[in-house]
Amino acid sequence: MSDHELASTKDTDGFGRMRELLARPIDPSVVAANTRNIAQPEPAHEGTLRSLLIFQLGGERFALEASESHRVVAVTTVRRVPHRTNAVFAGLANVAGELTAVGRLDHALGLAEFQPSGQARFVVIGAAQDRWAIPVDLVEGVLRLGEARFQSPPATVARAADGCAIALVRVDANANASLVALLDTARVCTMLGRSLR
Amino acid sequence: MSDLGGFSLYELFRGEAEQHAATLSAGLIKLEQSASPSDIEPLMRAAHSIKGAAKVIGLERVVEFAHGMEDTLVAMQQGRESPTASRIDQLLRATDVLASLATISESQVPEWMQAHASVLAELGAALSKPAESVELERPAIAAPQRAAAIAAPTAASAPPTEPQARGSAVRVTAEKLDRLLQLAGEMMLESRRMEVVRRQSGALKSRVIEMEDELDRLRTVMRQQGIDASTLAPLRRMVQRTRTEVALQTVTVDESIRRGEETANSLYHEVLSSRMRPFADVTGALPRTVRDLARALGKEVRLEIDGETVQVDRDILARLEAPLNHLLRNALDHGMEMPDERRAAGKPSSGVLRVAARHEAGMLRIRVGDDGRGILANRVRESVVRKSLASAEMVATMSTQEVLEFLFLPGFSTASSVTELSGRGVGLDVVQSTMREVGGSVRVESVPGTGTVFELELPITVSVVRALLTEVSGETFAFPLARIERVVQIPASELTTIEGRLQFPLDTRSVGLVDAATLFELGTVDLRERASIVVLGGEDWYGFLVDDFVGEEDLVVRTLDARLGKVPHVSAAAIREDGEPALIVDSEDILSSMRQQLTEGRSPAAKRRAISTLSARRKRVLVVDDSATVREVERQLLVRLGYEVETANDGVDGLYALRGGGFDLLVSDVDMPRMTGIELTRTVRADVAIASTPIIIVSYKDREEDRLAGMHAGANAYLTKGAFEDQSFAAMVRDLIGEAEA
Repeated sequence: MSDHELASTKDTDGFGRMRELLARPIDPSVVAANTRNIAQPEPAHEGTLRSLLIFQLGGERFALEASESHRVVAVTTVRRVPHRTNAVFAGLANVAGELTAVGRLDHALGLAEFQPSGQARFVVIGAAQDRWAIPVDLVEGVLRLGEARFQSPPATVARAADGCAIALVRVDANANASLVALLDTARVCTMLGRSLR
Repeated sequence: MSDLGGFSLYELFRGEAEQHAATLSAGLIKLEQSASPSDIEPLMRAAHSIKGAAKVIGLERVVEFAHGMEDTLVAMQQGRESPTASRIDQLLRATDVLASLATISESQVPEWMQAHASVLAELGAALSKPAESVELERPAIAAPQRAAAIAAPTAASAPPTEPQARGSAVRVTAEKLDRLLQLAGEMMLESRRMEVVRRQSGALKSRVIEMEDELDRLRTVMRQQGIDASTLAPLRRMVQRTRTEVALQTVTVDESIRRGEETANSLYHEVLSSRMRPFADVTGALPRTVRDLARALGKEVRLEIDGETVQVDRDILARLEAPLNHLLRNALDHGMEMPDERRAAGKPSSGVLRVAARHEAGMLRIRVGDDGRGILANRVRESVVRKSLASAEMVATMSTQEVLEFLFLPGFSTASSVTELSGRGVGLDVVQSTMREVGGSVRVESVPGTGTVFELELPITVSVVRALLTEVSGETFAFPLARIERVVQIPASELTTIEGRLQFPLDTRSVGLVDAATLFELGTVDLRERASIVVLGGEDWYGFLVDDFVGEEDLVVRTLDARLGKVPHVSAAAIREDGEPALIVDSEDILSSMRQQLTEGRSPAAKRRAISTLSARRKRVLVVDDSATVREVERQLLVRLGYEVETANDGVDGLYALRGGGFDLLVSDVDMPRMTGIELTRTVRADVAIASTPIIIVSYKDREEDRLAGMHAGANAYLTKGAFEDQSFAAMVRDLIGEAEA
C-alpha cells in the first residue's frame, strides 16, 4: 500500500488514524537501529529502584528516602518556645493537627537561609516520638532511581551535610549533572535532636 | 484450655473474677456497717459465679474455696451467722486471694496455686467452720427483714454498681483517644473553614441577581429607544434559570455545611467527653483502705462518699488518687480520736470521714473532712517558730488560716511521733504540688475539737482550658483564666521605676511588674502608649507586661513535646480555633520567677554583672529541683543564710547553668525529668571545668541504698527533705562552702 492509498482509506469506524499509524512503512534505518539495540547485551542495569524525595534548601538540592518522609505540607506559623528555641529548634508548628517540632536544617547544615515563599514546604520526618518538620525552599517531587545512580559519599568530610549524607545520587539522566546528597533521616533527626539538649 | 471468641477461657475467667471480687469487696464493707439480707444477695451471687467460672476452667481448689465463701454468706443471709468484723475480715482476705488470681496470666496459675496453697487451705478451713456464736459485736439481722429478703430475692435488690448494669466497654489506648481528639479538633476547624465556601456561594447568588437586574434595565432602555428587545429574551431566560439553580445550590451548600459543622462539633464533644469518668473511679478502693486502717489503729470510723457520679477528666482522676489517699490517712491517723477519747469529748465513739465531690463554677471541688480533734493553730505556730520559718512576733500576727498554710511546706509536720501510716508529714506538700500541677489548689480549715476539712479545687478537665490569649514578641501565649487575678490596660506613663524595679498602681497597692518577653527570653516587650498587663498572684499581686491582649478562647490542651522536657514558664501547648499554635503558660512557675526577680530586685543578667564586679562576692548556690515549692523553700532558706541563689528545673537546665560558671555549691533533687540528680552528679564529676563543685543531694528517698547511690555518684552529702526542719541542711552548706561572704 502506498502512502497515498493509506491516507485515502476511509475512516469508517473511527480507528482509521490508528490503523494508519500502525501500518505506516518503517524506515530501514529505524529497523537497523532497533535490531542493533535488541541484539546488544542488556545495558548496565539500573538496579532496584528507590523512591527519593528531592527538595531544595539554601540553594542546594537534597534527597530523602520518600518512604521515610511522612508528609509534605505548606509551611505554617512556627511558635517560638521560651528558653528552648535556638538556631536549629525553631519552635512548634501545627502540621495537620499535630504540634510538631520545627528543625532548621539550613542552620544545622550551615546552608544559606531558608526563604519563606509560596513554594516553601515542611517535610515531616522521624519516628512518632522523634518527629521533625523541616522547612525547605521547594519540593521538586519524588523520583524513582536505580541503584546504579547511587555513589558512596566522599571520604573527606568537608561539611556538616556530609555527616548526614549516606549517598550521592545522580538525579538527572545527564551523566555530567551535579550529584545530590541523599540524607539519612535517622542522622538528620539525631542532629536536629541535639538542639534540644 | 480451649479458645473462645479470641479470648482464652482463662482470660474470660480473669475478667469475671475481677468483677466479682470488686463487687464482693465493696459489698462486704457495706455489710459490716449495715447488714441487711438484700445486701448479702449480690455477694452470694458473686461468690457463686466465681465458683462456677473456676469449675469451668478446672481450678478445683478455687471452686472449694469460693464454695466456702458462698456458704458463709448464705449462713449470714439466713441469719445463722452474723457479719462480725472478724468474719468480714476473713471474707475480705478471701476476696483478695481471688482478686490476685485475676491479675496473673494462665501460665502463672500452677505457680500461684503453689504459693497460695496454705492460704487457700487455712482460709478455706476458717470459712467452713461456723463462726463462734460468742462473737456478737453486732446484733443479728432482725427476723422480719430476713423473711422479706428470702421471700423476694429479686434482681431489683442488686446495687447499681452491678457489672450487668454498665454498658459494654472496649479498651482503647489513651494515645489513640488523644489522636482521635486531635483529629476531631482538626475536623471542627475544617468545617469552620467551609464558611468561606458559604460566603462565596452567597456572593455568586447576588452576582446573578445583579445580572438579571442589569438585563432588565437594558431591556427598558432598548424599548424606550424603540429597539426590538425580544432578542434579549433567550438571554433573560438563561439568566433566570441560572439564578434558580444558584439559589437551589446555595441552599444545598448551606445545609450541608451546617450539618457538617454540627456533626464535627458533636464528634468533638463526644470524643472529649469520652475522657470523662465518674468520680467513683477514684473512690472505689477508699472504703477498704479506710476500714483496714481504722481497724489497725483501733478507731471506729464511717466513710461517707458523696458525688460519685460527678464526671471528671481521666487525667485529673489519675492525679487525684494519691492526694485523696494521703488526706484520708492523715485524717485517720492524726485527726480522728480513739473511741474513748471521743466519748469523753461528748462525741459518738464512731467518727465520720467524708469525701464529697461536686462541680462548682466550672471547677471540681472535693472536700475531705473528718469530725476529729482538729488542728491546734498554736501548736502549728510553735512549730513554725521552732523550725525558724518565721519569727515569733510575725507568727503571732498571722491569722489561723495563714498559720495553717505552713502545713503545706515540705517536711513540715506537727505530729510528735513518726507513724507508719502517714509518715513524717512529708505529703501535704505533695498534695499541694500535685494540685498546682493540674492548675488547682488546696485549702485547709479546722476547728479544734470539731474537725478538719481539706478542700481541693481543680479543673474538671485538663483537656480544655479557658484562657486569655496575649501577644508577646510576636508569639501567642495563653494564660488560664482560673489563675488570673486581673487584666488591666493603663497608660504607659503610669509605670514607674523604684530602685530599678518597674511598678504600677492598682487599686490601693503598688504592683511589681515583669516584662514577659524578657522572662521568656524572647526579646523585650515594646512599650506602647498603653501597657497591657496580666495580674497574677493570690495574696501578693504581680504584673506581667505583654505586648497586647488577643482575646479569650477555649483551648484544647496538648502536652508539650516530651523531648523539650519541662519548659520553664510553659505548661502545655494548644492549637487555636484558627489553627495557629499557642503556648499555655505555667502561672505557678511564672509567679515563682517573678517573686524571685522582684524580691531580689535585679534581673539575673544584672545580678551576674554585679557579682563579677564585686571583689568580696557572696557565695553562689545553684538549686536544682523540679518542684517549684521545694525550689522556693530551699531558695528562701539559702537567701536567709546570705547566699546568692539561682534555680533550675531539672538536671539538664542545672548542668547548663553550672557550665555557665561561678557556682560554689550545687543542691540537687534526685527524681527529675530529663536528667536525674544522680546523672547530674555523675556528669558534673566527669566535667573537668566544674568537677570540683561541692554537691548536696536532697531527696525524699531516705533508704540506705538511695543514699549510697547518691554518694556513689559523687555527692558530698545526701540529705532527706526533712533536713530543712532542723539545722542540718544549713549546717551542711556551711561545712562545705563556709559562710556566705567570701
